[in-house]
Amino acid sequence: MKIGNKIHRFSSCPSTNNLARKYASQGEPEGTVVIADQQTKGKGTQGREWISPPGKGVYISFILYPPASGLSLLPLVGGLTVREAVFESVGVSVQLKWPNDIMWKRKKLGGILCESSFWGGKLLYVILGIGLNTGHQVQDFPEEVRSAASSLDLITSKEVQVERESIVENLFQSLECWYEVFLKGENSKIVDAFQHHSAIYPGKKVTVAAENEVVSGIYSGINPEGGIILDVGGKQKTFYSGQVHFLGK
Amino acid sequence: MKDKIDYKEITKLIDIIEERNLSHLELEIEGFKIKISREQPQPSLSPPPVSPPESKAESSSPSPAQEGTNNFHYITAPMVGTFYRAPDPSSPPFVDIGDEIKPNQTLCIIEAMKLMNEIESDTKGTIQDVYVENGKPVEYGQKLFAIKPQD
Repeated sequence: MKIGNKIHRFSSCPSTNNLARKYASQGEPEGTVVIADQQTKGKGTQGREWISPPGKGVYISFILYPPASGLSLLPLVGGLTVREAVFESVGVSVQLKWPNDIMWKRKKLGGILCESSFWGGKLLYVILGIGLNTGHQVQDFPEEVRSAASSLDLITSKEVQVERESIVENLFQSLECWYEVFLKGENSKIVDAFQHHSAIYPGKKVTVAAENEVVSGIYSGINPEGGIILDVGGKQKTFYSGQVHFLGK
Repeated sequence: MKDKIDYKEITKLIDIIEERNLSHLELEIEGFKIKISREQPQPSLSPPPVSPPESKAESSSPSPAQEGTNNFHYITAPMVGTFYRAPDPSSPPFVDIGDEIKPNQTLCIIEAMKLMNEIESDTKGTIQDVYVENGKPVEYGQKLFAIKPQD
């Protein structure tokens, strides 16, 4: 398997994830890439839109056919892939916020959107989608997200050239490595690396907003299945879903 | 109003839940809040592995599962996660009881760590039952839908 052996490139498309799903259901080989300069209906999680103006970001989706075992670690694999590729390309060590956000000083730079398809109990494919803000200037973000969003161009010094092509090349290589780790079942390597680059430090007070409850506690790490562990009044509670919010400075 | 609820009263509340066959009861009295819920089937307290062992994943086939005398085909959760009946909060559910469904039709989404797993039907038939409420956590192997297969 080679990531990026086959590339479908578009100047504009509604959503690279949706296109990749279509290609996957047509049997395109593993590692096939869908990339676009612009998404007109870029997808975030829970039906939210991922703002994808032309030429300002990396909007890319990968077709994978993994075993179902340990599947939910793939969003973490995606985060580690982006972190490594950004470091190789522009020398900045961005951070990862559980489970799928790419962060810089509490501002969001990018995100991972993994989507799988099951036929009954049988896993058909997984699409690993990445949206990374590269060239956005402040005014490129809608007003309501300006205080919470950033781009590689905004966080690097003027001398650093943020080149999308170089990031894409590095994404291929990094995903090749991390996906290999995943396929070998070396889950602790994934979890350890994620914790090492986590935007949340152990001991930090956070809130997890899950579907039916909002729980505050002390972040105590990631479990082997990728769940986030909170110390809630001396008791450990693990979450597999939810949005993490920082409390205090 | 007194400021404490004692053990006896909690037992009474549990009795009410059982008598009335309620699934959920919430009560708040002057700073004291109690939530009691009963779920069928009872979920286990410790989460099983997030994903199935390899062999099990391979063995899952479209042959209908049988239970009792009915010939329902059951769709079960392929992983631990949160069960969603619609693509997003503002959309109607993918399917409902009584709906006729075709193979490859999306039934639900199970989300774990922001990995959205779309579960498609592997059979043609009619939805007989939906076992889980929207937004509730599900365990690996938990029944989600009963489908009456159609030839």
